[in-house]
Amino acid sequence: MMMRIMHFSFTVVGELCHVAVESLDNGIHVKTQQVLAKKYGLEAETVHQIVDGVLFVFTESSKYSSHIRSILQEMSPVLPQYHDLEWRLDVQLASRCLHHQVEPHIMLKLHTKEGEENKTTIFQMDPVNLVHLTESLEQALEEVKTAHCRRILRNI
Amino acid sequence: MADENKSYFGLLNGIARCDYYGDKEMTDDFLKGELYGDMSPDDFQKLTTRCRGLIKSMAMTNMDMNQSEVFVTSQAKKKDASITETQVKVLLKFWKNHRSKIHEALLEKCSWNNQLKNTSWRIDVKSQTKTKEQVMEPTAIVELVFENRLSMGKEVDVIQFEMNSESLRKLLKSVHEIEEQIEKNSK
Amino acid sequence: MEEDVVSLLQIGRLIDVQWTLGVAVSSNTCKNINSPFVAMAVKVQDSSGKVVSKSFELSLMEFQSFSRQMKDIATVLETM
Repeated sequence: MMMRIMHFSFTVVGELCHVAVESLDNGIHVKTQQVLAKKYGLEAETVHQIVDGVLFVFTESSKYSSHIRSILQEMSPVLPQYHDLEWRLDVQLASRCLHHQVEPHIMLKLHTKEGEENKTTIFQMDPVNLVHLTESLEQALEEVKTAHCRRILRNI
Repeated sequence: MADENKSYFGLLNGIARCDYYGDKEMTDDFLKGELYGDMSPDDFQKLTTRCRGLIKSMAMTNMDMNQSEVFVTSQAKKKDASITETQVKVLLKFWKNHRSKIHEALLEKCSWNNQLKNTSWRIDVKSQTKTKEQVMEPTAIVELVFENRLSMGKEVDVIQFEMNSESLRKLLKSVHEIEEQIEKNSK
Repeated sequence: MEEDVVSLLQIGRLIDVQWTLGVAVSSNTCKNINSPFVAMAVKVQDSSGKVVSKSFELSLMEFQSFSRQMKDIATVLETM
């Protein structure tokens, strides 16, 4: 399909790209595409495919375009962001309850920020779960490093 | 104390109040204005960063006076030292004054459970009907006031309950068990 | 009717007390906090059957004050 685009003039390609970008803001307008199709003697379905294709290219290269990136960011769900993590290690000496823990346990206070809103969550972990958590986070960190490397290699 | 030492001492106190005692008015801008008006902003930031680092290190292991002296003097001897020889004495004096208070503040910062703020009680005499006889039974009414350390506004919660001799006996049993364990673990 | 009023004014009963003696060993800001504490959880049941529970943490000093008060109550009750 990319081959097809190469047969068109710059004007046509320009207009198709324009429609693609507009569709990011306003959604895909079938009418607009039909008008374009008629104008250049194309099938409506062809125009639709080309606009889709152009959108795909834009999305892939969005890392280089702040405008498109900001639009895509607005479309993705807003999640709270990590802000800070406090922890405390406790050891229990004695207890009259069902939850007597012989092992040390860790209490954590997670701070997240969602826009202006600050939220804290308190939770508890035993050493085994802490090891699991650390391993998971280290795995995530490894993935970040790899993707980063791959991106750098692609751009060389 | 020379003027420079006075300012340094003041700065350390200001940082302690801001970072550990929750005094939000002790901003860096305020401290600079009061103590180091002539210093460049960059130099002042370097100075506060160094001070904060030193206090943080000493607080991290709750250094006693011997440990802090060894630590601070070794820091002063380093290449690109974070503290001058004359400032060493000032910092140690500061640490002597604030060491316990800062340790308390750090403990407070990692205490996230409810705090018992107040306990009050009174005795009521209840009339109970037991086996066709009216028995006057003394009952303790207890009120516990808690503060939620996590909430911004330090929310307060109150719990009231009554105890007769029997339930008080059970509570005291727990209290004694705890005291025994404290005693046992203090040795 | 009188019984309803009476039950409204009735204060809950203490039905359970659990406790833990622990030591806060270290935190992200201090490697050697070494502060003992008593964690407690009390359950109070009101006359409608509803149970309210509260957990809290006492320093050793706070616990000593609490224990002293409970013993004071016992002393007074005994003399009645």
